Amino acid sequence: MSSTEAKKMVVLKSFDGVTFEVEESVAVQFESIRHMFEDNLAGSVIPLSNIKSEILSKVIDYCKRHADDTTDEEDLKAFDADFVKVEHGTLFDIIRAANYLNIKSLLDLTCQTVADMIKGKTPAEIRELFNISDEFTPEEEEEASIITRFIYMDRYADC
Amino acid sequence: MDNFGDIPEDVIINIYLRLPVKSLLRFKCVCKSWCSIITSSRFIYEHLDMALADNRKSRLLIMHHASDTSDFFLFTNDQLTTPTPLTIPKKDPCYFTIIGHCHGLLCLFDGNSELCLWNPATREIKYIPSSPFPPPRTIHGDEDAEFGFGFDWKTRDYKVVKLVRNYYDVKNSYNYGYQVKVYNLRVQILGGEKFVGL
Repeated sequence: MSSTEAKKMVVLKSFDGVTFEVEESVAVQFESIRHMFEDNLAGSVIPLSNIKSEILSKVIDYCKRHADDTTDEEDLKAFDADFVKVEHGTLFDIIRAANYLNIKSLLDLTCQTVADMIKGKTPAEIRELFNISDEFTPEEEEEASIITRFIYMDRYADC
Repeated sequence: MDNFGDIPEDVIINIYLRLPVKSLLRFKCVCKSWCSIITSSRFIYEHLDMALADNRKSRLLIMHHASDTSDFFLFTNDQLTTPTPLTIPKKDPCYFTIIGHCHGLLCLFDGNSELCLWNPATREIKYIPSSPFPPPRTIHGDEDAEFGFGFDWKTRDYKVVKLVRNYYDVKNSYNYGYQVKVYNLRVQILGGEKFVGL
């Protein structure tokens, strides 16, 4: 591979019909669709029928920043911290997109953000957030095995 | 709507793996599907693996013998000068002897020499009924025994090991032999006892 070769581009099309041209070096982070542009389909448009343009543009921004070797670690951390400062709905959409495209580092970042966000919440707040109506009766809750609970180890995280 | 309604289960699990036990125990009663995820042994072990890989969660536990009880103090990275006091609930105050620790679980003998496991994270204590091990005797008594507590990654089970040194006379020469007993906690807890003679 010569370095003078023109950068290969990949074209992605969002759910609402907006196309994005992305360098292949950035798009390789989209694990689940990687084979589509690596199988010599360069030039053809890859439809992402379940990702809105607003979200896809954010995801591409994230991947561009993470593909850039010149960014130092501190800057990247600051970028990540800013990146997840969004409305819940947007955050959940990014999670769905990261999961669909199988971008591990983005999935790690967003899942950690949600974990930090929900860890202090009550079951009722969680039900509302996750839109869950299937409640537990206290009797059923009791059934949960003491042994299984016991084997949990948390290195005393919350004592 | 701002909700998680259609987040796939593997993503939910990914989020759960990052939660502290305290939150998980609380979220068990959110709904049946969450409960079955949180209490499944696969999830528990994944959670353990993930937490073990995270050295930010290391803790220091100190046991202090007071006048008639054993007090425990827990130090964390952000609480190096103000440890959290922990007490093991007991009807009668007593001393504890630490046999060993593993993954944040402590294996102890209580004042009545009963073997128990204590999880300071969940504050739960579990006595091992009909423990095969007699009370520990004075170190240089008739029986010289050492105990160990650990996790067997192959069987994913906690084990207590007792190593006994027996002295005996053979034609006026002093000899000793070793006897090892291994106690598999899960096998025992789930019913049935199993000894491994070596």
